[in-house]
Amino acid sequence: MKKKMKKNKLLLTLVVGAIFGMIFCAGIIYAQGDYKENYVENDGITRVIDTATKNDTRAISIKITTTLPPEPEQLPIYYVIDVSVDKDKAISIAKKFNFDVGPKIISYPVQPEKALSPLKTKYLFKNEPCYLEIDTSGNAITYANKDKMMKISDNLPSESDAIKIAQNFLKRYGISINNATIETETIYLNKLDTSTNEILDKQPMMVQVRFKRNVDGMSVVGPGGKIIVAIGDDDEPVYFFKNWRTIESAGAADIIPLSAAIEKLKRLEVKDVPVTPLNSIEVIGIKIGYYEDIPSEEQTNYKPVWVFDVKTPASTETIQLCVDATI
Amino acid sequence: MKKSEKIGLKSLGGEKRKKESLRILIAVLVILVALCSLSSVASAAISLSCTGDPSHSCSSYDSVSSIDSVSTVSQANPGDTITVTVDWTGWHWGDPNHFAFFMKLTSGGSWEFVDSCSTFKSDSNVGNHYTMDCPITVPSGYSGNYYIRVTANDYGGYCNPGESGVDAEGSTTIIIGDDDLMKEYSVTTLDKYNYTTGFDPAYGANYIYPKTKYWLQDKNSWTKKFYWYNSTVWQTDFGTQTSGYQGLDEADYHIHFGHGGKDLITEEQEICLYEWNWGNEDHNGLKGDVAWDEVYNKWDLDSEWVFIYSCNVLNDSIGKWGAALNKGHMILGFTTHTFTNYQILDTFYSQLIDNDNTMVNSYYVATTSAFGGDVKAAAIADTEDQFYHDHLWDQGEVKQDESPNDNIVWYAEWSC
Repeated sequence: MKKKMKKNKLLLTLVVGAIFGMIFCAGIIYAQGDYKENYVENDGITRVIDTATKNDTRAISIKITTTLPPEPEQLPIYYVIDVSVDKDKAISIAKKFNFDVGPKIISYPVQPEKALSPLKTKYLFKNEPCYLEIDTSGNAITYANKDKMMKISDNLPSESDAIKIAQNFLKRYGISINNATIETETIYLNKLDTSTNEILDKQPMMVQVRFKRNVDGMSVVGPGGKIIVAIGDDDEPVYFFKNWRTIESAGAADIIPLSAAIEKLKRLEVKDVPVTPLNSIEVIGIKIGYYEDIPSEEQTNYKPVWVFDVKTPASTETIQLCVDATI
Repeated sequence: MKKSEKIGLKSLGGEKRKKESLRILIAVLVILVALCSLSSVASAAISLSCTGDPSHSCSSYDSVSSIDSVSTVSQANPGDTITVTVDWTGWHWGDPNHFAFFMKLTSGGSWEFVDSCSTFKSDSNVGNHYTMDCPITVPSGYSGNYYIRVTANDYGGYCNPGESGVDAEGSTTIIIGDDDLMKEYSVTTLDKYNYTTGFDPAYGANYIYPKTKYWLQDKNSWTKKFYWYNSTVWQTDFGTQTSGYQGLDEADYHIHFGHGGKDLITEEQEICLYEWNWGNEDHNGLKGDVAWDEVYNKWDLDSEWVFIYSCNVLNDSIGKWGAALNKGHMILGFTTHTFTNYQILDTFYSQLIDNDNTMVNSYYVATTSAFGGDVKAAAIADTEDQFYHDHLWDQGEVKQDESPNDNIVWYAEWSC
């Protein structure tokens, strides 16, 4: 009898184990739900994920070949005061640019694969072939003349004249910028012979004037903190982009020591991750700056970041990596 | 055994023999019929050349009793000379027969005259079966699904489709333009690598693929050709093969996200796949790398636009990668490093779809609004027209594929 009970217990254990095993497997399959469809056969070839995948959060080896900068204990921080734009404000901005019709509201999910994803919205005003877009999150503005941008131009201004034209354009629309670094670039359409790598012809299309923001004498890094005005034929601004949030003082914040910032860098806890292999890097410059985000991000404050100029074996130029400098 | 039974058995045996004889007779007849039909098939194999350019003049004389089949390639480009094979039954009886070729969109419209020719062979059997290969040049400006119609006429010139006097007519269909008329996209992303750092959280799987799917498939009815990620991304997905599986060349639009870097042995800028190891990977392996020489001149099927979201791939390599554009239209990429960014695709696709902006303009707006000035983007087009005018399908004009392919590309590069 005892033997039989033992047998039953063993059987019960096996059954329970099997059920748990099935639940565990189902859990794993569910957790990998995002990837499930990658196994769909679309060319008759079975492809299986390499299960021996190594860790994703490798430590990067860092060599510092620059003098270390002073480490401030505190630095000013700022509030962003135009975090979002409502429809009425968008219409009033559009009117300044002579767009009287609209807007069309463009909404898209942040995470489309999730049913309850929050939406991002922008207002689109059209006056073909021109349009104006205003991002509701960051107050970013995009204006473009589709027919005239990126087209060969017979009568482009010089780069120095383009700066004046761009400054007048901003003034006309009441956009004031203080303390900016100005960069210009003429964009060409190049005709290239791929067999010889010889440029056979080179025609100018636009002069791009970029205003790059500085705050407290420090440069603003990241995708924001800039205005671009591209000048086309006959001195006409054909493209305008502004991602320049309005800020006001919010006191000061403690700054993490450089050593802590380097540890973050080693763990690749950077604001924007470069799309290049980073096993080892050489730091050739270190400074502090401010970070301004993409237009669709509701950035509520401006905080300092440690900025590292680095070189990697797989890329030829300097890459700027930045980590949060506040605690 | 009774007599009657015996007789019955006997008569049964006689019926059996009769049946057997009948069977043999039928078999012989079947063989004869088969031989006859074989000989008639053999007569259909008489090849004929169709030359000359007769004028239009539809006569009431008949010499072509039927056009039995018309066939040609499934796809061609404007300007291509294609072979249309016409099988027909009839005779010439002393003078030439005249054939004409017309095209019209399957969706409607009127027949447009494309080409004509005449045939002659001294014959006297009205039931001849002829096959002829006719070279036809596809007119410029044609794009889409077309009928090709062939008319036959006996005397004096050719007939228009449906015209009184036409001897016989036959049709086939063809797609003009490289496209298969399906809006297809494909995606490859790498967030993990065997020998180097990846992206955590996953950016390709969590942003690039879902956003592409949302804007193209969910909002605009595009069809996904494939999505491969991490170690399932193979070199062949980039159209490295000239036959069989063509990877990205089987879709109109492809986006790839993942590391780009310099091979420290070849010094070439490469797309890094899962086993990429600073040049120590197997260059010809499935999961090592994709270099320009592996796609040289190979994008000639369905591919229009390829977005390579990787660092440096186009750095000093615009001509090398541009040479992949055989009939492909455009490569969008970077000549410097670039970064992960959670807005670039929403801007890019919204520009293309909501604003009906061109591919180059949309890419310019997307990159200048996504990155700082340290990032340089580039757009390479196969033709100047494509650079200015290519839109996403159904959002505006899409220029024709380059034909014949040359060594020239058109590109612009800008700081973001």
